Amino acid sequence: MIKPTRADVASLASFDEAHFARWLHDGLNGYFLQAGLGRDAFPTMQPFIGQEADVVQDIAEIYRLLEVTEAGAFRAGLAQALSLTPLEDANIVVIEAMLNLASQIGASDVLSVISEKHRLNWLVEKVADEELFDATLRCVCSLSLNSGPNPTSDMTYGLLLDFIWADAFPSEYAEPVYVAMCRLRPEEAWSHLQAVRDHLDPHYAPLEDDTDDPAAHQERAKLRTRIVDRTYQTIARENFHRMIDVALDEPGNYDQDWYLMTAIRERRVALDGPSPRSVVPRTPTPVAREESTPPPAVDGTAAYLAKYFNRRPTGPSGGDA
Amino acid sequence: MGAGLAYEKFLARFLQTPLGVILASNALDGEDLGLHGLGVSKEILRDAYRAGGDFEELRHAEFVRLIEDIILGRKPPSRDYAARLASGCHGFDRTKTLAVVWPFDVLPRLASAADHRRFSRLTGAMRAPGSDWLRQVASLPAEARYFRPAPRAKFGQSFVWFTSTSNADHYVTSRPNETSPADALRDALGMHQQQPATPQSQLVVLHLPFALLDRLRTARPCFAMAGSHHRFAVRAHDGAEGRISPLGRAVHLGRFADGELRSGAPVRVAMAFSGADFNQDEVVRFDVLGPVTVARGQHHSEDHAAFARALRGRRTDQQLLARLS
Repeated sequence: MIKPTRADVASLASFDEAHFARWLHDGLNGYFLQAGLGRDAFPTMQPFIGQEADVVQDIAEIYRLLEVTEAGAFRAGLAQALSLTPLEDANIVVIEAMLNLASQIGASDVLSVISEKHRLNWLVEKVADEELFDATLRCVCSLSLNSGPNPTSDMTYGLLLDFIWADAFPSEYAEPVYVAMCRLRPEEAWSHLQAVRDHLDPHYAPLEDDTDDPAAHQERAKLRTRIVDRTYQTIARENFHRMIDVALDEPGNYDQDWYLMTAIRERRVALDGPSPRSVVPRTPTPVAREESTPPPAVDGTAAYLAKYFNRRPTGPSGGDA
Repeated sequence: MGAGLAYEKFLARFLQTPLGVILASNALDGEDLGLHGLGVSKEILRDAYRAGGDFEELRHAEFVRLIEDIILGRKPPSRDYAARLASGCHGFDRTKTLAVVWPFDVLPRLASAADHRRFSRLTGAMRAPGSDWLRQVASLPAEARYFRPAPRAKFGQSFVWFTSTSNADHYVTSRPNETSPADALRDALGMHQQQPATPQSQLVVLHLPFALLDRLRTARPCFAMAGSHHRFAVRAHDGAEGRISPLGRAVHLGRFADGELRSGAPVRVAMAFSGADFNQDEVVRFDVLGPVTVARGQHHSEDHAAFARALRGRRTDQQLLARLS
C-alpha cells in the first residue's frame, strides 16, 4: 500500500475552495459514475486513490496531510461540491460518499448545504432510499456530536428536528438524536425529550402489569436507565436538575412519566453524594463543562423528592398544591 | 530515445528502489515456483509502463498502481491476466469463514441501514466521532455483532487480502500476553501500513461467508499485488519452501522486527467486490480488535529497504534487471 506523504499532496497546496470543489465533484462523479475512469478521476492524486478499503478513506488520508488553511478550503470545497451535485437518483452513490467524507473529516460546512430546503426535502422525503436517509442523518448527528455548541449549532439543531419530523424517521435513532440535541442545547433537554417522545415511548415505557414477560420488563428498564445516564453525562448535573425542574413545573402526571421516575430513582446516588454505587460505571463523572460552574449543594434523595413531590399533589390533575 | 530504451532506463531506476526490489524479487520467485508462467511478469511490467503514457514523468508509485490496473483489466491491453493468475483455493476449509482485517472506520460504510438501526437500538448510540459508538458496538454480545452489507457497499477497491477465521483466531489466541489482538493480527498479516496513533489504528476483523469465494475471482498473492501490500513474500519462509499452495504467506512483522524473515498467516486475495455479491441470507460477522499500539517498519532494520534486502537474497541488481527487462 502506497500512502501519500506531504510532498505528494503538494500539488493541492495552491487549491482554493473552488478548486477543491471541482476536484472533489469531478473526482467522485468520475470515480463512481464514469465506467473505466476509476482513480484517474482524481488528477495528480491517482496513485493514492484505490489504496484503502474505500475511496472515502483514501481522500481522508489525503486531507490529513493538508495544512490548516488548505484543510479549511478543502472542507468548504466539499460543501460546494455537494451543492453542485444534482439531486438525481443516479447520483445517490456520489452524495452518500460526500456525506460520509464530511462526517469523517468533520466538515460542518456541508450542514448549510444539507439544510437548503429543496435538498433537505429530497434527502429526507422524496427519495425512498433508507441508506441515503441514514447516511445524511448520521452525517448531521456526527457533526453535531463532534463539535457541541458552536456557530452552526442552530442549523444543526434545526436539521435534527427536520429529521425527527420526517415520515421516514426510524425510532431506533430517537435516543442518539435526542442525545445530540442535548449536546447542542444542554439547557433545553426536557423539550428535546418531548420532540422524540412519540418515538421513545413505545420502546422505553414500562409494559403493562399484565404482561407476563419479565425479560422484556428488564430490557425496557435497562433502556430507561441508559437514556437517563446518557442525558446526565451529556448535559451535566446542573442542567439535569434544571431539566427535572422544568418537567415538574409542567402540568401532568409526572409520577406516571417513565423518564422522570427513572431520572429521580437512578440519579439518587449522585444526589446523595459518595457511596459504593457512585463509583460504578453506570454513574459516570459529569462532563467537563460542569467544572466552570460551581456544583450545587448536595441534596439528599429524601430532600429532593420532598422538594417536588410535597410541593404538588400526585394525581391526574397535577399542578401546584 | 526509443520507447524500448526509455523503458529499460525506467526499469533500472525502479529496481534501485526498495519497492522495485520487493516487486522484482517476488516476480522472480513466482516464476521459479511455477506460480505463473515464465515471462508473464516481464509482460505485465511492460504493459504497465506503456499504460503510463507520459513515460518521462511516470512515478514509481503510479507504475505499481498501473500494474494492478493491468491485472484488473482497468487499462488496456486486456490480456485477461486475472484469469491467468487465478487459481483454485482448495487449501481452505469450506466450513469456515474468511477473515478480512480492516480499519474499523470502514465498518459503518459497509453495514446496511437496517443494521445501523439495530446497532442503534442495542447501544443507544449512533456512529459519530466522539460518540463512543465504537466501544458500544465492540461490546455487543457476539450474536449481535453481524451485519448485512449495504447494497452499494464496496469491499475494497483493488485487491482484498484475506485469511481464514481459524487462522486469524490462532494468531489472536496464541499471542503473548503483552501483545494486543490488533497488534498480533496486524503483524501476522504483514499489514505494516497500520501504525499506532493514526485515526485508523482501530482494527476490525470481518468474517465473510466462505461461499462468497465461489462468486469472486481470487488468486494466490503474487508480485502484481505489491501495490496493495508490500510485506508479503511469494516464497514461504517457514520451512515449507518450494511447496506450491493456493495460499501465499504474509511476512510476520514482529519476527522481521526481531531480525528474522519468517512467514506469517496464510493469505489469499480476491478482487474487490460489493454488497451485491452477497446472497440474501449471508451476513458478515465481526470482532473489534482494538487499537494498534506497536509501530512497525519505522526502524532502519525493519523498513522497506531492509525488507527489500532480505527478500532479494543474493540476487544482484543486474540479475533482477536481466530477467525482467
